[in-house]
Amino acid sequence: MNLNDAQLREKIARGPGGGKNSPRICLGCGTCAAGCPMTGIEGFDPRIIVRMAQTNRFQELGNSVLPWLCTMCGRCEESCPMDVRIVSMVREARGMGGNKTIPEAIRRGIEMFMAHGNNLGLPDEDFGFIVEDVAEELTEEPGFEDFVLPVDKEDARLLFTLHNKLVNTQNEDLKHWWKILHAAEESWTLPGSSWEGVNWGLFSGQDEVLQAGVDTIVKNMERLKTRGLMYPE
Amino acid sequence: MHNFTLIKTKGDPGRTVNSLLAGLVEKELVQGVLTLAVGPFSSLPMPSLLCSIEQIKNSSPLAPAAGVSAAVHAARISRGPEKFRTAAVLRPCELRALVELAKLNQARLENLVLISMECPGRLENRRYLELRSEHPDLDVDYYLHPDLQAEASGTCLSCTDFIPEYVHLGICLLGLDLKQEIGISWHQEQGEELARVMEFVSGQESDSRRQAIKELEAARKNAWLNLQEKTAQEISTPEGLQKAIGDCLGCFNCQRACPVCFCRDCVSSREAFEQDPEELYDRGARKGSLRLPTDLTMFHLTRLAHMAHACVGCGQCSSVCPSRIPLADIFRTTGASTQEELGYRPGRSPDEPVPLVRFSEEKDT
Amino acid sequence: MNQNVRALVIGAGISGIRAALDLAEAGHSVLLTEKALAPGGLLLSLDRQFPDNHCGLCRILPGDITGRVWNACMRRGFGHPDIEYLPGVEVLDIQGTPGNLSALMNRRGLKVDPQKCTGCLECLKVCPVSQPYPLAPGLGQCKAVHPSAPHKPDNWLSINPDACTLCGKCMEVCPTGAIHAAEGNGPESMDKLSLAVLATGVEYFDPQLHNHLGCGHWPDAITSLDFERLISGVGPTRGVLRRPSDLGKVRKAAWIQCAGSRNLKLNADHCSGICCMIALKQALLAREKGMQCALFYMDLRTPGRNWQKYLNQAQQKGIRLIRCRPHSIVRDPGEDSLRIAYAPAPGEQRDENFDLIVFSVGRDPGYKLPAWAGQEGVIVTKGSERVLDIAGSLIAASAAAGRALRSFSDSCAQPGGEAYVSEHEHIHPSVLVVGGGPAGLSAALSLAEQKTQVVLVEKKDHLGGHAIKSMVPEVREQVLELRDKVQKHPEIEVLNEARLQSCTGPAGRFVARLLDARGHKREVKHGAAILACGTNPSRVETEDPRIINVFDLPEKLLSPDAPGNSSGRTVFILCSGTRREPADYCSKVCCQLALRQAIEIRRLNPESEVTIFYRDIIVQGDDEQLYTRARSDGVCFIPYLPEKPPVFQAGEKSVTVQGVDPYLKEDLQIEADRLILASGVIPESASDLARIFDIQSTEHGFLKEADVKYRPLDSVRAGIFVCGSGRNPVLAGEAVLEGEAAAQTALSWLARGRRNWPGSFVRVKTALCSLCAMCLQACPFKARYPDEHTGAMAVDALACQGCGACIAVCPNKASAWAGQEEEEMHELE
Repeated sequence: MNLNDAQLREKIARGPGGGKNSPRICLGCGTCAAGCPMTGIEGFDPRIIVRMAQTNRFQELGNSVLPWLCTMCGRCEESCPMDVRIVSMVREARGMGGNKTIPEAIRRGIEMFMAHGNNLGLPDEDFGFIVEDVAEELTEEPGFEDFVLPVDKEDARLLFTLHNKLVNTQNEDLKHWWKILHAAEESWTLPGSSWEGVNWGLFSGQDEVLQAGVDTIVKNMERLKTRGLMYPE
Repeated sequence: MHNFTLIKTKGDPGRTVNSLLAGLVEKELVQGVLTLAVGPFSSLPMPSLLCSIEQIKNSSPLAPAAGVSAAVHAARISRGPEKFRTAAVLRPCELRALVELAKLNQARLENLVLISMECPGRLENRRYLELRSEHPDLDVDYYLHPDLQAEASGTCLSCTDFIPEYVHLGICLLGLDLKQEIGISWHQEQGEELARVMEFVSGQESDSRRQAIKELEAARKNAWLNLQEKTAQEISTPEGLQKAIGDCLGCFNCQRACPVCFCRDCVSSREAFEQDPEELYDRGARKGSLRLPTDLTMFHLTRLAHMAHACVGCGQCSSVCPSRIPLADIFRTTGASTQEELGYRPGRSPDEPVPLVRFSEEKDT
Repeated sequence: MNQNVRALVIGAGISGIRAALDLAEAGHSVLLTEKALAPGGLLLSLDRQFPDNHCGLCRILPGDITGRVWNACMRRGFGHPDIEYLPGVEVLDIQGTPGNLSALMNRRGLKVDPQKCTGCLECLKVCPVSQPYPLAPGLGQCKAVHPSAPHKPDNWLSINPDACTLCGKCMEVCPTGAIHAAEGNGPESMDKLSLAVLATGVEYFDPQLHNHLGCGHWPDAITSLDFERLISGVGPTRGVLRRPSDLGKVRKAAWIQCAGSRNLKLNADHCSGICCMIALKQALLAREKGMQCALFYMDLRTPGRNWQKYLNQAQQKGIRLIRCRPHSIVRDPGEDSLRIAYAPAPGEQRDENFDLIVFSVGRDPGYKLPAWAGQEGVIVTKGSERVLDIAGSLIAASAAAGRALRSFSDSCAQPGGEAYVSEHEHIHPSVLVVGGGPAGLSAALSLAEQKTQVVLVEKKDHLGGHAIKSMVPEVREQVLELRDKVQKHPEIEVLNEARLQSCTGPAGRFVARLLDARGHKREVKHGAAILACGTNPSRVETEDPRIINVFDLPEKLLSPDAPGNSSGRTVFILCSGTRREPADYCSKVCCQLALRQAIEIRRLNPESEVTIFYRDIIVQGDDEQLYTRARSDGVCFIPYLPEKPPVFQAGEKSVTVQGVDPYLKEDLQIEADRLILASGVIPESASDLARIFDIQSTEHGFLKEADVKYRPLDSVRAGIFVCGSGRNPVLAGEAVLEGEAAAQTALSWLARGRRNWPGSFVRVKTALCSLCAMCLQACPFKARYPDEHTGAMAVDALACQGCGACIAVCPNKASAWAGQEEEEMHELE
């Protein structure tokens, strides 16, 4: 983010998402803190987030670990009587810290994604092997002998993106999906590359990453001319 | 105390005081003196309004007697026009009663010079007369002989308020050899003015005098506490109270003698206490018998309700009761606890408001 | 009496009754309608009342028609010969023009004839309908036929027309035929009404309906209105605190403030103003019964001179005041109590169980006045727009009655005021108004417009008080308009630079002595006096031009012509001298003033930094929007505890202000360019006036009213009235309302002159009187005086209020009740 001080303040003042519910309107009532699962843990309290935003210390907040303690569960926002969008604020703060504050696993995952199209950094070829293996195993089950795994099929109704876990340690679970799709005689396809469904740009507060994630999915849909998206996250 | 002087008595303290009083009239500070004097037809010293120097010089201000409480008379005299200023010589209890009456517009203190003496007690009227026939000089001897003082009324023997409080001139008799000298103290602006006019010279009080006062205070305090305890226990139940006043005749002497009972026409003498015959029969039938006159407990309780806060402990009620009911003990004991509850001391100052009208639920409960 | 004027008052709660009485006492005939079948409105449920938490039900109890009843008793509304009371009637619409209005009324449902009803309750047994108990919907159900009020007035049983299915079973079983259909079922029109006053009150927020904080599932989460019934000695549990769910014992109870208000998600950017006080009262009552009580709040709103002490009392009695809003209410499996999650301080999250949870509810955000309320000729009481306490409701009602009468006399050229003024020998038909601020001006004008002579006395050389310099344009304009009208009105004589010296004379025949502007003596005879002396800002002791009293913050400091003056850092410290001894009261005006100033500074200079240190932001009603706006505009708010206020030191370059940010738990230091202190107001003139008029003043020097709830504008002396800030700190708009109401109250008093005054309550048996004057000392109303002619004490009949203190204190019964001798009493047997 390269906003100057005044611009930054203005952005915060308008609030993430714009409009009236900027952090300034916070009453300090503590409803958020009362419902937050992280209050008190390592000194976390959603009021601190809002207060720092109010007092122009947002960069300081972004540089700290506080935004990363939040689980983004949204209980605060749901109950806030002033309709302050705390979750968006947390995300915004995360983005301000830059790479310095992003937890290692997520940072690496994002790196992998930006380079290879998925958080594991798994080459497309390996992806292909893994899913084909699972597909073959499925055909050995009664009732699914005729199962064929669609990959990069054009004109399907649904494009399936995957949580990287399903290609990593829990690829058995893929079968559950595919059985349902098969039984429903659904028209669907996996993309052969950029199949990642978990967009960590959402967590990291980095809009460019978020954008990139969305872009790849859109590109896949355009390329394969699918009409709908099945999104696991 | 530097507002204190000693005057030589040359063996006759009574005459010293008489001269002092005469001096007030001579200097036109007052037009008359109210003090005890024996009359042509009476042997008992009674409050008298004395206007001539001669009569003043023959009066008995130090007589240890009080046929009636002089407070009422001082009060009435004071309500005259301003041109009649009176020097009222009163016992401390009479003085306190007068202050209470002033709060109720029954007396105008601004028309009075208030004089009072340190009082070891008074003798009951009959006893005074008896002792006087044995001791012609009783009025002086009384102050010199403890065994004579021991004959004072029961109320006086347990009185702790024997030094006058709201006063202009005090006649100091304790701890002094009255055949040699008496003391005069002066208080308030008026007292100071009098002292100036009378040319009193400030003197010192001796340690022996202070000691004598202390000892008397201690003895009296002890007696008072004992009396309170004994009386409180006796009247702590309805039966106890009724027993204590059981022989009441309904003569209402006590009400008449009481200096702080100021009503012109006591409620006890009117409709509320006049039962009609039907009601008497009603009650008689219910209980089997009905002592007459009835409602006497009610009378005493009414009087307590009306003036327990103002009881100055003069003891006149006991003195006048034909049935010898220790009314003073009852009223003083009840009065003391009422006064303590309300933080009130009767006679302390005319500016202290009567608790009956300033009582506040918030502050006083 | 002007029979041609027919006034309609809609709603027979306390406001409606008051308005109806005021109109009737002005000589008009009044129709008083009430939708429910028992009058009294909300007050029927509130039996324990501030300030002593004693039962106040009798004040509202409708009883039999009695002759001479004391002024304060609301029963008079029903006994008054000029008031026709119509219960069970709902007004659906009003049409027409002032002077010729017609109201569409609906008489509802079946009725129980109180003359025939024996209270056998057979009807209850057969009624098939179950409905939420109307007085306390959260506490359970009852039948459609049910006791309408918790005590036993005439109309004990009533049938809720909204719930009744008209099955008629009750009519069948009633042994005396007391149940019958209302006459002419269906709407009918009532015509030729001159004016209407709307006094229906507001609708309250229903937390169960909104599942507020998840309470929808839990019967033990009730509203404050329900709680009033629970704690009432004649309530469903006879005052024993029990959980509605299982009637289990209540050991711990929690109050949650601002339910349905101060919540943008509910579109409720308002404060209902009195819920804080109600909750404190309820917690105190519960505490008396041994409960542990906790109150969850954001700002404790206890404005004015009376309420701070009440708050102190609550704290002393051990009520826990927890400054945060809870998140949710749950019941864990196997538990019989409810659990609240809350976060009282940063990083601290707590769970606590309570047996009973009370939502302090205020005005429902969706509440709207009926469409016809905007009609000309319909006067809406303030109590129908927002929640008011008892005193506020009474004041608003009288003000509305006054406005109704004035507007009517304007448009119809009917002399509404002639009814009051008469040359009765006892009461002089004119009023002395002391003080030319908004309250005094408003009172004077109200009186003059109802054809009453007024002398307005003002200490300064101009009218308008402080309000004329207000930074709020609407306030300034209103006061200027009042001032102009007052100066022009032929019935008002204005005496500027006048100094009051004394006021003597018996009630109704007062004589005030004063020195006019040239120092000449004047005597003003008057029948009533309205004291509206106001207050003055308390001083801020400093020479430093950077430290400013919030009342002195001059407009030029904020004007665009001096832009530099609003730049930099401005710090406000609120409650800097008040809400602790010796000024242990809230001055009410400072918070909203500071908010407005802060908003203005930010508006003029968006680069500026404005910080407000506060204890509680005390604003009520729609002024809450000022607070919301200030926050949105970037004003930084820092709460502080009274034990640890911010400290400041004037330095060369700046004023250093040190405090603590409780959210970040950090010490903070601000180098301010200016420091604004809100040190409150002090009633400087009030104690002088109290002395001159021989009425009481409070410990802090405000003028004291006769009864803080039911007679807020009467002083203890008949004919002398108090209003405005001099009585209790109020905003300018409220002062104007109080002036109107005081005028109405004074007019009712003047009207007494023309009626057959029944004579004194007390008589003196002169032969017995010894002039001890204890009666004079005991009389709170200054109604006893020594009479030279009789040589005894005498009674000022017009001032005497019949309290009997003089009779109690007189030792020989020289003072006695008139007409109640022992014989007469015995004859009653």
